[in-house]
Amino acid sequence: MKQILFLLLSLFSFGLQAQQVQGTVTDENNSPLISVTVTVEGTSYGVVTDFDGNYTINANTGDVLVFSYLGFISQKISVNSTTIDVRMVEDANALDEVMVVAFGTSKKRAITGALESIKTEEIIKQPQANLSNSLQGLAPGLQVLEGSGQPGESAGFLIRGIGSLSAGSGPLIVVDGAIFTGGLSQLNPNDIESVNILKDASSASIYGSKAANGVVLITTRMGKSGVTTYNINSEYGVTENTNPNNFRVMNTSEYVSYYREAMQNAGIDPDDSSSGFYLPLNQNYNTNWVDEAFQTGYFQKHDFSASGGTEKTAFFSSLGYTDQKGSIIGTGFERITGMLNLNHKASDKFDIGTKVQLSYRKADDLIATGGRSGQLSGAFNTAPTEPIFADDDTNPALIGAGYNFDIPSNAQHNPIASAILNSNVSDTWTMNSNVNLGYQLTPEIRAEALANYYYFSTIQKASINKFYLAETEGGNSEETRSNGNNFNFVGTLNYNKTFNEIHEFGLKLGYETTRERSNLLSVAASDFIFSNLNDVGLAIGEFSPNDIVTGSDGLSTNGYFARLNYAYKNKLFVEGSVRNDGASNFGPNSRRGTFGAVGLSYVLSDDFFEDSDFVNNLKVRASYGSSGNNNIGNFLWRDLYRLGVDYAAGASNFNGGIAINSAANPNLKWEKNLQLDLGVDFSLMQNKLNGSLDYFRRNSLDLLFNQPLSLTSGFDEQTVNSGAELLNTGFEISLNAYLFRNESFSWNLGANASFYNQKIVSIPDEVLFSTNIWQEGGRSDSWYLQRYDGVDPATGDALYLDANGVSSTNYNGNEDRVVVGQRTPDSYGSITNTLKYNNFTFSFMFYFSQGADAYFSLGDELNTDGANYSANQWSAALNRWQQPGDITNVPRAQINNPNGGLTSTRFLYDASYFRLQNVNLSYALPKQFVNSIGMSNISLSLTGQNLWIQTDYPGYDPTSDAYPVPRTFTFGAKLTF
Amino acid sequence: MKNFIKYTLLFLVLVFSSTSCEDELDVIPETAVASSSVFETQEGAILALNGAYTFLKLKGIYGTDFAIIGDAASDNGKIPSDRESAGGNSDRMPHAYLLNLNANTTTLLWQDAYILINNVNAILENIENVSDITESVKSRIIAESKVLRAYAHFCLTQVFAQDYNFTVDQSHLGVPIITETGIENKPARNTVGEVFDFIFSEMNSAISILENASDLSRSGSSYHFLDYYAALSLRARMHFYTANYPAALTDANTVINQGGYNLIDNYTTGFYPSSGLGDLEFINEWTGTEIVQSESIFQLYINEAGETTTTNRSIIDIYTSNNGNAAHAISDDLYDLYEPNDLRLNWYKIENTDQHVFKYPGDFGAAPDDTPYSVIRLTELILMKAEIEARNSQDETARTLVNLITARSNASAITSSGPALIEDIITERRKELAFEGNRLFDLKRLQRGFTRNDCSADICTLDYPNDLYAWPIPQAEFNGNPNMDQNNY
Repeated sequence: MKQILFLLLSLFSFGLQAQQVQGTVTDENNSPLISVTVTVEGTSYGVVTDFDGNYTINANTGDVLVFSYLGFISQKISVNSTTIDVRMVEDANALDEVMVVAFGTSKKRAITGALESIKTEEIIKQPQANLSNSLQGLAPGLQVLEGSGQPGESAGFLIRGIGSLSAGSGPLIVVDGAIFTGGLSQLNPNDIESVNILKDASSASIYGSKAANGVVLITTRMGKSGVTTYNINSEYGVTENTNPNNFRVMNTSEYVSYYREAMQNAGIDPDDSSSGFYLPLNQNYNTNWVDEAFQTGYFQKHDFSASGGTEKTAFFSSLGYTDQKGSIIGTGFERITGMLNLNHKASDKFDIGTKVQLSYRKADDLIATGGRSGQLSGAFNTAPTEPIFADDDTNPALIGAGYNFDIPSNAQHNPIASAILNSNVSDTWTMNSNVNLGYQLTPEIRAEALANYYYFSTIQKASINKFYLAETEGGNSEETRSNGNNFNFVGTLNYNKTFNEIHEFGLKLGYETTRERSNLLSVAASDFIFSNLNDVGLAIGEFSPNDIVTGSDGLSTNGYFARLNYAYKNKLFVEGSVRNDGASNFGPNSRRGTFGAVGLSYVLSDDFFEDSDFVNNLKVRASYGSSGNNNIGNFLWRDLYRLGVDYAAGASNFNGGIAINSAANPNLKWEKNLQLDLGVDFSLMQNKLNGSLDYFRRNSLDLLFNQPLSLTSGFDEQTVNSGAELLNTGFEISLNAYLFRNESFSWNLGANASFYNQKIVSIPDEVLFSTNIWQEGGRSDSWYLQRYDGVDPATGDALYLDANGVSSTNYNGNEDRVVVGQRTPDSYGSITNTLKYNNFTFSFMFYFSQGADAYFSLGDELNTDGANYSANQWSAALNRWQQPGDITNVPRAQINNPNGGLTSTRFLYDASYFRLQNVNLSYALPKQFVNSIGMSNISLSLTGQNLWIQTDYPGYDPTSDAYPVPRTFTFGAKLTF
Repeated sequence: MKNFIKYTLLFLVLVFSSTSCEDELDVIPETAVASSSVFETQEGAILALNGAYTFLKLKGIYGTDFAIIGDAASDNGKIPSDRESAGGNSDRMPHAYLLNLNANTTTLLWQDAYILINNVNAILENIENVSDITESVKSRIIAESKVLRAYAHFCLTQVFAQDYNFTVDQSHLGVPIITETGIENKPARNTVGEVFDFIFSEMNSAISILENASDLSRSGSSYHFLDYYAALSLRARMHFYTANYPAALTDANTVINQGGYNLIDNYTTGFYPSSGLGDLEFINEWTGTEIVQSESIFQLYINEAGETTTTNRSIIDIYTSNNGNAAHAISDDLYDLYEPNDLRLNWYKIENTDQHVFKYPGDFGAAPDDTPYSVIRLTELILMKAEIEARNSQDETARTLVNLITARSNASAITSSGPALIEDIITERRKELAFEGNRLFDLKRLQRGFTRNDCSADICTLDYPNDLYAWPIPQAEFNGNPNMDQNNY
């Protein structure tokens, strides 16, 4: 058909003495673009590119060819040769782009709210096993709470600040239209088409009582009609621990002189073996426990996908494998994912789609973060004078599997033995599948239904080996099995009609219901015969009813919603939505609530800058609306007795017992958000500079608050919807600029930043925590600490300021605390440079976070001024006060120091940081060569993640001490054929 | 447009007919019971009573705090020298030695006693509604509930109020008497007189039921439950601490003469493996999962299981330092009172530099932190009776009684008479009942202060009367109750 058209066109053109122009159209990565429209300007005919991006068109010299393709910037090129190859550039701000929104799609032009879209390329560029971690910095308004570098660990999200005091503040996650409650680590980043962030009321309120913290819409990849393409993507690399400020603990000679001095300062003779603090100068060992605890890990990821289809049926299928060895010994992550997405158009009226997504994950986690088997706590605290393996001097009763357990207590133990002997492994299987149906009842009315079913099953097994002598003898094991399933149904009826080609109406009516159920069974057992056979069934230890724990959880919701869209001349847009929601976790007295939002946007450029070369697009937006937060316990409102309060009459006689559970509140209901958003989207200078600016004001009301009760009631507090109110305000800006662009070289600069302020507008009572305070006018994430005032040069004593700023050695840590900082940043954002030269692409992304403070608890734990003998100490204590006149901020070391290591601003640091988050160099092999071996694209890439960080925070990483976020280098190859 | 309306109607009909939405939103938890269904059956009522018993082992009561205050806040204990710098962790209560009490230190005792009371109130309020209950089971449940409730009020008063005779008419402040459930309750404090009137009226009515009641079928020994003689013994203790000696003597005599308990004739010792310390010599009668069995009247098994139910640091962790965290040791003031041959010295073992309390060595088994704890035993009634007889100038009877106790431990017999005899019996009581939680309350009863010679605390002497004998009500109470009055401290 196409050939005939060409032939006809050729014949026709030949008559006009036109010449034949041909070429290839590719994208910025030199991948061929299929179906790009090529027209001769001023005429009405044109051609489209074929599967290899080739086109042939007849045109006269001097004619202008227009290349246009959805989502790319149109190019106009004068005909001056018979071969014109074109590289199309993506239009980041194309107003006609179709975006995924709540319960459907919308042209970007018509969107009235604040919505960010992250594309698959930005996600898969990062060597991360987990989708959540790779979103950091990619969207203004989305903060990724990394928390841990443990392989496979999911990060949390915050959208537009913290909008709750006691309920959850994480966003709702929706995958392919269905509410998703699983962990994001079960999704293969390679299977993701886009991640859209709904930040304001207009875009999110239609999710009603679940929308207050924003919504993350994840869309998986779909097949497209056309040739079947196959993709193979392989990455391999190494991971290692980072340590920007050279944090370390003492070696043996530093350690020995530190504690000998501490003993002398306390009047104890360090050479007196009867004092209980004997520490002679001569030591046999200098163990670097920390070095032993870290390792160079690896990261490998292999993905295969195939997609394609006919006019009626399209498919995408994939198989992925990820294997990661952590930067701390004994940790790792493995994942296998498989997905099939199928769409079929049964007739002009009826279409059906289905998805099946399967995953298996195995996570080998840290044995514990603290306690008698904590890997890192042991690595940091254990004295360097202790050997890893037992020697001739080791008490024979304290040798297990050759390891040395003859180590004094005080939170010290053999972390290497813990990592090797003990285990903490979880296996998880998930399935997420859906069926969606669409039926075109009339040309204007379409009915859609989506049914989604999600299932997960986890077996977690934590074992302490019988030879791990720092814990209970005989070993113990705990196995927890949990599983659950969620069912989600969405039915909608959609009406779309345009009147007089001016007035465009859209109406959506919908019904959604969700049903989540989960349960768990946990069995603990102790005393094993064989050290390596530690299934709970093999234990011979005494068993009590409390060694078996069961749990169940359930939540059901339903909601009715409607959304009305009106567009005037495709430039003025009005949107209104309303939803009535009910949820089982609210009491019958206030089970249903109604939420709604309105939005307005106007594409100014169509009216005022139509002929402007400077302003290409200019759109203003405003929205306002309400939404709810139902992220609270599922049974809080119920008046319940809990089981398992069994009365033990002696060690083996148990009498079943029950007891009143908590202070129920049948009036409990959702928290409410009222949000205003004002925004502008612009594209300037031939689309070379585009961006968005948003202001928001988010009021969170009816906040759940634990109201204190008289303890004589048998309860300390009751959860109520109180008069507490939070206000988050902020600006978000994103810019994308082509600094330079020609045929062979381009330089793109993208940047985004978010600026926040949070305040407690009102609160029923001031609430004090050990290091935080909630008070009117303050923030919900304050640091509330007594101020440290350095060291008295005369005595070496620590000095503290009282509430009035008077300095003394008195510490009370209570009345003298003041607000000294905040836990979340004032601003964060990223800067990404992308440089392309022929087949090379080089990009690097910086991420910054500014204004947060972090308490360096590891430093606190390891700098106790002698109070915590015989724990090893942070090397900062090498600067301790030693004699009168010493000017330092580390006090005198003294055994049993009553003033040592107290919680104060001494260990509070500015946790602002500037991180080189991602560097990526990729090379696409020359087309001719690739084609000659039967492939359509081969590219190679080198990637570095978390390469460099600038921060004042003295620990490994300002975002996580428990398991530092590692540095990763990978090499990847991508084949398409 | 007409079509749209038609289809909309169809859609709405489908949606509303396919779901009965309010039923769907009624999700029932599967591992808890609705309060309304607990008291539908006799079984439910018994389960609730068992739960109330378990709450005696809450951390604030016998899980830790109330079990150790009597010794830690008196001249029996001291802070181990390797723990002098320990902070004010509430589970270790070094502040009990310092007695510079701040308002948060006693939260758990106050809170946990009222949690127990609230659970008992729920039983007593609902027991009449149980349909399938027999009269005898019902009256037994009511009686045991009342004893639990009265005893919880007694424990609270011991700690948070001055002694009974602090004012002549007992008009000084006690604790709120709580007899009804109610989240919104914001009671003021009753006077000590009112509290004890309530306690005795409850005990009297419970004892009159228990005297003829048949036991419920429960597993465990009789001394794990509050039967007639246990209630009588507790009432004897209550009378004794209000210095109503005649009434105490009457109850003590009933138990001693009719209760069927047998005083341990001789303490015997044996060697047991102790974690990290090798084999150590302990008194056999105090080892294992049940202790002093022949004379035990009411004892608890403090098990760690279920951290919300009991403590995660039972007294066995608090007194012995098998992991370096023992918060309390025996002071030389008490230790030196024992003669060198006294078998009871096997209750104490040196760890590091101090003598630590190993009176509850547990069963050395799989659950090393679990331990039995004696709430009341025949020995206490014998010593109670001895002291009262001495006060009644029945010196011969008193000496015979107290020397039952000295003799079984290889201690020298007491030969004194008159006021010296009373003092010797008080001292013997201190030695024998050491670390069973009584010393502070004996000092209050006797209206005496104390002197700590082996002392590293801020306060080493304390005179009577003293504000520090009525511990402060926790600050958390004031956060939710504007009607509360604080003690001076």
